[in-house]
Amino acid sequence: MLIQVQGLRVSYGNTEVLHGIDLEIQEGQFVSIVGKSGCGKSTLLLALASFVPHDGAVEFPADFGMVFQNYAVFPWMTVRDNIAFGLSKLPAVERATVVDKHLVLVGLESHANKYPSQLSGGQAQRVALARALAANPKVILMDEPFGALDNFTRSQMQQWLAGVWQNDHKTVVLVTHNIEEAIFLSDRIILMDKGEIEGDVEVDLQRPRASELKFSTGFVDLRRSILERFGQGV
Amino acid sequence: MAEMLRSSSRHMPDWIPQWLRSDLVWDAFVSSRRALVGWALGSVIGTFVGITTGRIRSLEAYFAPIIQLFRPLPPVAIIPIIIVWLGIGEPSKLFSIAFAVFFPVWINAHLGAQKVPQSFIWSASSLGSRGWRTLTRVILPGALPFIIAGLRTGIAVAFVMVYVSELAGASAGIGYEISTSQLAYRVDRMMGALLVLGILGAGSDWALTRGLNRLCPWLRYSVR
Repeated sequence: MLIQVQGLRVSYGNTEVLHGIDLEIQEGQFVSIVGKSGCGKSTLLLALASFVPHDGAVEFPADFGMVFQNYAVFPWMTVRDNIAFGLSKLPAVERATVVDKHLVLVGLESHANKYPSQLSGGQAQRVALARALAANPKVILMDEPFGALDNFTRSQMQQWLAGVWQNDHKTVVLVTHNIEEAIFLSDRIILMDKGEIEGDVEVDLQRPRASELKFSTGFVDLRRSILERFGQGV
Repeated sequence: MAEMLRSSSRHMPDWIPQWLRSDLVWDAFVSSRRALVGWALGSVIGTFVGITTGRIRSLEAYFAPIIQLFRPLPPVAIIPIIIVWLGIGEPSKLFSIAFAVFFPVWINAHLGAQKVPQSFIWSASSLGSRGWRTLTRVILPGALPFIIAGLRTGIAVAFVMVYVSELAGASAGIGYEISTSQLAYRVDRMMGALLVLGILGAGSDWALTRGLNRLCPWLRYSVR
């Protein structure tokens, strides 16, 4: 197991928001954590990364990348410099090669010298993902990465991310409140409610995945079963 | 340099008004130098302390109350004490300017460092950045819009303080020029000196913003 969590508890002040989470994630899995707003899914991500104080045992790789809903790309760096940020230990030539490769991967070669404020939301999020991927981490944590995008861009980004994941099968933990997004992208969906894991669903759908999959019987049935089990509010 | 400026101010064409042909050019040079050196000192210290207190809770708890105690004091009121400590020479003038500039720069740097989004720090951390690198590559540029506001306020404060500090114990400078003109009832010279002081302040602010826009081109774009 790449990630192992036992009895994870997180409190903000006197309020406990995670009540003893147990979780195991295999290397190469794309896992989505789904739940209502305030159920503790983002806190779980932050606790995995040890960004918030927590109790319990957490085994998590030291080298990981993180992508946030607000992109968190540095506005004072160009696209190229943002992607190169995590590559400071590489020699300059190798660094430039890795950056160029990831610029192509995210389709932003012609935007390399632009600042994030000159990009659209979808482009900025692709920079954030390229920056995380370029450092070649064992795990990528994503906290509602497409939450700020419109539905059309969101759908395009899901398709794009599915394609990127298909290439290297990186371990990904994605937090989202969008069930369709979770089903489309994941191998496994963790359902959370009130700081606890309420369900663990295998997504046994064909890969590689294209947007037509969202209209397939398997996809629709899985979506219905999750919604019936956890309510429309998920 | 000093002699050249003195000389140039005394040998100007006839069409330039009398008050401009006085030692005003030299006075402007002296005042600018004092204002800019004092501003630079206050700004560097204010930025460093502001970033530190903004990001390190224990230092904020220790230093912020002390700084807040001094912040409401009118900088003009401490000039007599500074003169007692440092004499009437250049160090006391530079110290009083730097002292006054420190507070607006500090409070802006302090708030700016606190307002850097936590997701920036977490992103940097996940990419292996720690300590000094995060400070210089993430926190400092992240706080820059606030710091610039402090620096620009500081420039105006510096030119106020250069005038005040030159009223006593100075033999040159715009403040000195105004006080001697007042004793001689030379309103034209006083007006001219005030105009020059205003131009110097506005010019310094213009040069600062232009320089920063050149050094930090991303500031020209709205920040997402």
